[in-house]
Amino acid sequence: MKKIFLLFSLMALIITVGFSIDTLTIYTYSSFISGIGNEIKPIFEKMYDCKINFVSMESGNIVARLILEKDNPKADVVIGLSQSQIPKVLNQDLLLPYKPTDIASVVNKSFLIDPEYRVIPFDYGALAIDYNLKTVPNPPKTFEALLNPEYAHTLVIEDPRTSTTGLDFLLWTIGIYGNDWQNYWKKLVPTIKTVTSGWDSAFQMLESGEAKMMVSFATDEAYNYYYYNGSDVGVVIPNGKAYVMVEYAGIVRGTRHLELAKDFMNFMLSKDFQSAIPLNQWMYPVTNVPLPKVFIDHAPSITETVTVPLDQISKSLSSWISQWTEIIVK
Amino acid sequence: MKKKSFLELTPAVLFTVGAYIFPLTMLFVYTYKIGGNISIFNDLNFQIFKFTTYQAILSTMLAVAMGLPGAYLIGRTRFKFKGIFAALSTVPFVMPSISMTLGFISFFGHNGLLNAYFLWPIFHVRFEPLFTLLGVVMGNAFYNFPLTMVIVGGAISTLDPVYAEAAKIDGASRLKSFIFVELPILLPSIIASALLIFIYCFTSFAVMLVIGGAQFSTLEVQIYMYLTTLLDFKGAIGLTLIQIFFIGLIASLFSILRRSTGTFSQEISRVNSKFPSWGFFYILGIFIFVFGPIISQVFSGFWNFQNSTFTLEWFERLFSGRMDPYIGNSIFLSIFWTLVFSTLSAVLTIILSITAAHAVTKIKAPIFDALFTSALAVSPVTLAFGYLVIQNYIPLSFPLEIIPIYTMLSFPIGFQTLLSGWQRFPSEIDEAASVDGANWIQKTFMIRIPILKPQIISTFFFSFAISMGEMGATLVLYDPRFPMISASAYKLFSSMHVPEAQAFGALLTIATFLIFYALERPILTDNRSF
Repeated sequence: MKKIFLLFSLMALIITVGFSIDTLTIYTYSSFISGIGNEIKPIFEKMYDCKINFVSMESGNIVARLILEKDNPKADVVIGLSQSQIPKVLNQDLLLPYKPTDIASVVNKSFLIDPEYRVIPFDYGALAIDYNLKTVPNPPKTFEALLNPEYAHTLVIEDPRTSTTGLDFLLWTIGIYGNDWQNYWKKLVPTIKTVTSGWDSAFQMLESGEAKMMVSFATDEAYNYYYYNGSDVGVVIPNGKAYVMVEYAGIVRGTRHLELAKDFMNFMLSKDFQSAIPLNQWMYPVTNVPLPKVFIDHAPSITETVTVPLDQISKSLSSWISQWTEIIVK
Repeated sequence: MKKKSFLELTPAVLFTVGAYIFPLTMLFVYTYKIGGNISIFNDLNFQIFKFTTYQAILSTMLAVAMGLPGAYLIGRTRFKFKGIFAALSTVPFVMPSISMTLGFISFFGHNGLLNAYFLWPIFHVRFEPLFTLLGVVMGNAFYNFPLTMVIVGGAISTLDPVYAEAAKIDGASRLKSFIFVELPILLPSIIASALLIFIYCFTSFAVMLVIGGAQFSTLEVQIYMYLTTLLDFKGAIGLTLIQIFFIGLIASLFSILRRSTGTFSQEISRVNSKFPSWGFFYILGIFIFVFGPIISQVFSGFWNFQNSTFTLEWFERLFSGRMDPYIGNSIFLSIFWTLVFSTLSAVLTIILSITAAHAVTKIKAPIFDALFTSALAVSPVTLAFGYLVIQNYIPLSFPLEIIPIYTMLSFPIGFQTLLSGWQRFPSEIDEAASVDGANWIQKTFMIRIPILKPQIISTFFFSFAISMGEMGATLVLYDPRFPMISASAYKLFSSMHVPEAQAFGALLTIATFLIFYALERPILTDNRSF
């Protein structure tokens, strides 16, 4: 019993000890922290004589958390918002406008979706179909080819209700097929082996040979080359029309460290930060920094892209998901 | 007497209101500020509700059918590996869902152990239940059959042999006496376990998704979507209320049913029948079905798949500190805090369950039954969001949030377990002690706790297991200063450190097994006589 009391007091101590130095609290997803976060944290802390406190959560939960904490925000900066989350973030007025000094260095101007600069793009990537090089000798080159009976029961997709990858894949097909997407999905059903709740379980299935194809990212092959000097996974972008996922960051309304937060937004577009993106995030930088060789050799270059306009997403997202559910769910 | 019972009810009622009703109400109130449309009673939700119920009924039937023979073996017979068998069956409860995926795929998958090394070479057939309705039902049964085994097993072990003997004297065969005499007496405990299993299958999230895939959707998935993808908190709360209402209804029906079957207070005695010959087949079946995936999961923590060799490399890497950045803290701390939080919530659960169950046996008001059991209908993620809202007004920290949540998730089970314990409690002993002048404390520590020891121990380990394996709420409220094993394993998986995560999962499985093996022993070997 005594020990439990000791433990409780120890816990209370840890809880009550606050931070004395200026601390920038950043909400983001966990792989950001363990990858690029680790690398840039000491640089920024040294430059501005402060501390960064990364708080990790599942990417789907970030916006929910910002909304629930709106009256008493704990975060200063949020990193990792996706296009489909932006309408809600802007409607709820969760972020402060700030135009970073180097905003002109963002190469693709179409990424700057908010004229008030409440959300700033910092990297982008593309969805792709990953396939097992051994068991899929002829990967499908188009969305139509995916319907071919030879691919029956081979593709693992993620659930758009629980996974941002799954949601982006749904938006990709909507971008390609427009109002006819429901018909496409009805025909896609026989190809689908299963629907996983997140990207990681789908990836497990591909790795273990349980599934032959999955919805994943265009840089997966480059990743394998970088870490294992080879790859048993190939990537294909059907129709050659990539669905580009842009990741955004912003300053949380109600921050108690506004100046530091502005410095961080500027820092995100700096050369230090942008050059760290490819090999940590396995995404593409938004400014014109040189790409590593493995990207040039093993990642498809993204030329043509499809998008779904923001206002359409904010208007129809929930009915799209309902329709998707009716098609897929047993 | 009545007054005292209400007093005993206070801790559980206060806790239920504070840790479960209050956060949900706050979330509900708060969402009105946000606005947005609400649509709960639509065709899609109805379709999902129907399927959720359907799969839950099938799963419950399979789980109870799988658990009953085990309950008999554990409660009645003597066999060599009883402790190991009982301990292994509780492991599914704590396996992180992602390592369970791997266990199932590596065992039942197309290239899994069962198909590649056994069925295909010998019979040229494959058994691939994954991603089918059968898989879903199997997965739920895999997770939940131990509930029947333990609850009914406990009841069988305390069954008075007088009934069976009387039947024998009247000329009934052993099977006949079991079915017609003992089974009806055991019915309350069987129904209790079936009820819990139904509720768990109804609210199943991870198991369904991992083994069946999201095309087999439960209401929990819809709730999760409302909360995270669509940020429609009203929709989420609406569905949660429907779920609470439905589960509460089942719980109170059950409670009425249980009262009409009556309670059996009897002296506890020990019977050890011979191990029946069908038992071998049963254990073999369970071994393949349940332990196959567990063992292949443990195995993969020690196996280098590229070179097909045994290796300790993954463990070395896991404990070298190189994985710490991905977890957000030290791996050792994650083990430490997991043990601390799980133990604290298990102790809290026991305290609440003992008092609440005692009071409810005295008061006989089904409303409390329904209230305490309905907490099972709340998704941990929804509850965690409620705590986030409270944070706006009351400064809470991770331990102050996660311990109540873990306790709230396991309290309904503890309550049910202790309820069946109190119903069989020999009240004359208690009264005799009062006559002899024993006070409340003496009665509690000298008489009640020793007699209820089996129920207390099983409550402890179920609660401990639930806390150790919980991931939904843990990830929402995650604070790297208090790393937890389940969340850490998840973070390793999602940062593509699969072998290390597998090793961590294997460690969790082995540790669970050892802890539960040690805990199970006293129940199984105790010669209760007084």
